[in-house]
Amino acid sequence: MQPFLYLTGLFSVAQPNSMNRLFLLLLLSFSLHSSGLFAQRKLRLVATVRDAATGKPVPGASLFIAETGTGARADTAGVVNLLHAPGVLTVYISSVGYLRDRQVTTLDADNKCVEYRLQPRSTDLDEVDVRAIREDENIKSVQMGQIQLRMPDLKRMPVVLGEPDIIKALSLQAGVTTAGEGAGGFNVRGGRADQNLVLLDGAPLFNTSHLLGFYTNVNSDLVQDVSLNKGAFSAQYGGRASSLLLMSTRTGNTDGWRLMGGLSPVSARFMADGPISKKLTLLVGGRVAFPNYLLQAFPTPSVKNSRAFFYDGNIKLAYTPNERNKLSLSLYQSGDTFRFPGDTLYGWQSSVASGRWSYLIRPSLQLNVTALYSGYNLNVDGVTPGLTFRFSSFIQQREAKVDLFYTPTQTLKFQVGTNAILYRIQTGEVNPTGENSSINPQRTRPEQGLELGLYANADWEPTPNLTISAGLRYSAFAYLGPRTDYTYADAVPISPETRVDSLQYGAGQTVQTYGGLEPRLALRWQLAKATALKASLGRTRQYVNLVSNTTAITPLDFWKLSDRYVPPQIADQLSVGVFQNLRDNEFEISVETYYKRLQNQLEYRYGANLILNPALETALVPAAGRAYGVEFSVSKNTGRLTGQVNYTYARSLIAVQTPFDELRINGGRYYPAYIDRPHTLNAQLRWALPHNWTFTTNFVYYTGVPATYPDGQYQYNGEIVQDYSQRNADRIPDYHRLDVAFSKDTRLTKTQQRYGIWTLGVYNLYARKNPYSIYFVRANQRTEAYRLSVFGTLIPSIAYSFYF
Amino acid sequence: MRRICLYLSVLFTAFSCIDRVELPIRAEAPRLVVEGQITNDPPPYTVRLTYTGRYDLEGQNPANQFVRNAQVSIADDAGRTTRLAATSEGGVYRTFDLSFRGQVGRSYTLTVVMPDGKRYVSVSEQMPAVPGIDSVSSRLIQTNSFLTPYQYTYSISTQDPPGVRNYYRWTAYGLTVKKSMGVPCSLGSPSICFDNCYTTETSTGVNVFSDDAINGNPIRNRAVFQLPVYAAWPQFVEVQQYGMTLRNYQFWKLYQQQGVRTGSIFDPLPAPVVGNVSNANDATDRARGYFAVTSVTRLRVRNNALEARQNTAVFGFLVSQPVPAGDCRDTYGRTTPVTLPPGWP
Repeated sequence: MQPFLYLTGLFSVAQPNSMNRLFLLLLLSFSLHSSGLFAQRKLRLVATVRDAATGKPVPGASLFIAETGTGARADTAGVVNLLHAPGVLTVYISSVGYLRDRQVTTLDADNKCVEYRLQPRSTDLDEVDVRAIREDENIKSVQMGQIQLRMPDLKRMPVVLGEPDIIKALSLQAGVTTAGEGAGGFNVRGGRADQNLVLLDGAPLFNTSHLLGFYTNVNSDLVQDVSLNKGAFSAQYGGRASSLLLMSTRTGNTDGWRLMGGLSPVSARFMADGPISKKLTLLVGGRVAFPNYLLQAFPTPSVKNSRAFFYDGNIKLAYTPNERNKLSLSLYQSGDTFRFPGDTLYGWQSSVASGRWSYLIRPSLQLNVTALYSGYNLNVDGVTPGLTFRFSSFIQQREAKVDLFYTPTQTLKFQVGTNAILYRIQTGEVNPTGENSSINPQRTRPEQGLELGLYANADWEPTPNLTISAGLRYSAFAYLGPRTDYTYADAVPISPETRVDSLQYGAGQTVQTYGGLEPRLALRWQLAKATALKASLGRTRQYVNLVSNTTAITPLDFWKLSDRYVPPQIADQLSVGVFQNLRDNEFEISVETYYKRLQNQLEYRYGANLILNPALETALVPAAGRAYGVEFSVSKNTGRLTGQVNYTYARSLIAVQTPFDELRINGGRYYPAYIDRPHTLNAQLRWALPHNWTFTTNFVYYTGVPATYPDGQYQYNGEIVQDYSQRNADRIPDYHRLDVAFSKDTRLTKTQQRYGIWTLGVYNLYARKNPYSIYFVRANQRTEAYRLSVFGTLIPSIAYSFYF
Repeated sequence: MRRICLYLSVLFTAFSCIDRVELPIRAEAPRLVVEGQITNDPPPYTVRLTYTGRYDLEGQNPANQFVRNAQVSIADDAGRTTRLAATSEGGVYRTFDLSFRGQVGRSYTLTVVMPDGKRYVSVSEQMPAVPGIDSVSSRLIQTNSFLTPYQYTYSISTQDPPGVRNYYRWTAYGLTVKKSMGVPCSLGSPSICFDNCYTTETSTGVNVFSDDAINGNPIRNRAVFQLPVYAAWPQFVEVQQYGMTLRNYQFWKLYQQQGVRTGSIFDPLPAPVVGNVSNANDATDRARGYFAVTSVTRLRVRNNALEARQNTAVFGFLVSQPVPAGDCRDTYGRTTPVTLPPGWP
């Protein structure tokens, strides 16, 4: 009760009248007492829930009485019968597709009839939970290892500097981790950051970072749904080994134009959407950042004197000529620049365009045709006099896909489809800029490849208690010329010195092919009304690799196709889970366990030179990985207090596999990968307070990531050198953090169109100096360990979003 | 505890911190460290053999780090082998066969048999050629250093040969005069002697370069050395330009890369600075350091330091410096030459 009393105190500050506070306290104690006094005598409430627009009853709507935490569901005629003690009741009425409503009803007579009218969701823009899924979805759905973000919650979460962030929110879920605060990319169940298939309206994003990884490069205002598959995903998708992250942008509002925007200490953002004509809607959104004053707060001079800028923008057009056809076009562009003091300017951009035609052939048969382009490119400009240059690298994907969905009965669903992807990659190219540059133009040969996929998937529910989703995908890949492949002497490690021959391939000629089957299977067996057992099994193949010789994702990393020396990454995952709902789906409990085997992972030789290396294979060593873990999760989904607590025990190990002893890291044994974090605990709570205030809090704890500390030192070239003989044999100290936020929705009624949301938050409330990294520097005749904390103190923030 | 924290703004305060921390550190068994090279210079050639020590140097006697009683030899691809004998300097072994001289184009291998019988062998490497240094230029600069605010920076220019891959490394040393009040040249003599000591300073750090980006082009004004101005006197500098193998270049890059850490996302993965020497019976047992097979060209220059001698700011700095009394060798070392040694322009 204490936080509540504290809050009532806050309100009385706004109206400085101590009588008010007393009154509120009295009211509170009265309501507590009254429910006790009249508990014996109950009256019947007969409520009818109707659609406010059409007046039709809303079947299945649910009522929730805030005072006692009881609830009931409407029957097929939209009627709810409820026995309750008399009194003044705060009733929350909700249903899928409608705005949740709050009404105050005085229950003073038996069989009292009331009518509640719900506003349809179509006028809603953001601030209502648009979770169009059943309350017992986790029991009824065959999917496991799936995370769905509730976008409205995102804006109320305590986040760094008030910038709502999709990947930060995902990393609070079991099985999802990042390399550290402020590091780009994310890791799912021991998979590397390049193994996530991140689809924005069906098109892949090759980079998800703004500001070297501090933020996600997709504006959360524009996103309608986010779902992440950690386990085996549908055979419809392929091309990445570990996970599938689906993000779909909103479709423009059909009823009228609306504008929303927001301001955080880092960026300003806006979104406008509405109908251009009856059949055509438009959505435009954008975000620009002003992070320079933040960088100046960094202790490292290299960051402190840096300058940065980023932006992103989306456009979505949806055209519905008739009931059967739907066309949509989605465009996205984001860019970053980052200047290190003195000499280097980094710039990276992502561009995505995707168009989709959906055609309903028959009510049970739907065709989707998609064409898309996704590109990512990096530029580095060197400005050292006499050595001015521009380095660039890029990846481009052009894809066409066709999917056919056939639903003959409610319990049977078939899906078949095919896709073709053309990749073009430039791993690196350098050109002199300016007049007196001594730099010679140099480029690695662009890579080209073709990936084809063919799949069939069936979802079958033979009995209400059993669901089988079985799919098979066949993917094939061809590396296309022009290309010069080198061959190397046998029985010695490949190196520039052991090259024996070169093979020339002409333009379009097939250099190397790979391919294979990718079976996917998911089972659900409902043991009881609220208990389900699920299992999933899947294989995925990945023909593109991110080459990175640093612990975290950086803009300098580049993509590379599988070739003669780099076979495709293959992941096999088996997971089993038990799902239990309690108290009419109020609580969801789940335990999932998984085992994952990864083949053909890239590792790097000591001191490998990756940039502009024409024989990159000589810098690489093949590795195998394995990951396993158990994820426990408890969530409470209804009531004023909602939240989730999850705990994960997970391991992620890697071993270099080469016949050559000298290339083996840690002697060829399995050692912890950089993303190995045995223990992770996340807790999120959300408490709806009176007067549209919401309190949210996050607590995060995880084991420190592996690190390599020096375990010896010696003198060389007149200097002391640290010896790092065992990779990842140490761990940085554990991480934990508590965040809190209060948000205020200025709406007085749920139908109010113009309103704002204020969020006041504190990140890292107890100001723990969580280590991002530990590194060793020699100073004053001693080698000393230093801890870098990205956020070494508490960070208050204020953010504002408006809706017009 | 050292702490660097910075304040941001009134609206919110973002601190990011770097703190010194104490951590439990593992200690591994000592490993062999090899530091040596053969060049096309006349012999002798030296190889220094030491062991890695504990990271925290706890209870460690530096003398125990030297490898004693090892059998060390260098062999070439023509079947010749020469032994290296231990010297009085700890861990240093030196060739004594003056007819065994490194030649460009020949390949060389180092073999070390440790006192416990373990045999370490270097990868055979062919000595690459290196172009000559065309010129060395000097430029007076002002630095942030309180003690030596004025320094000459020396830069080389050379022509990179086209058609071949070249990997360079530069080192340099210089003679610069440090003053004292001096002593009378003889009893009762009015003239002063032993007031100018020619002290030697050597380049530090690693300066390597690959012609990957500039193959066949001139290398212009590559800074290789800085020598402080201690007196209004000429400076004498020798620059050595080494031609290395690719593997040797990669070793130095690894050495440089591992020496610089800031804890940021751009930090490279920590790795042992292993080179071309490993245990002949266990390839995972790799020695730290490198046995370099490298050619060298040199250029000696005299810098009259006119700019420093005529610049009033430099003059003001020099006259403000205290000058020790007596024989300069009492201050700067007994073996310091007081006249310019022979062989300088």
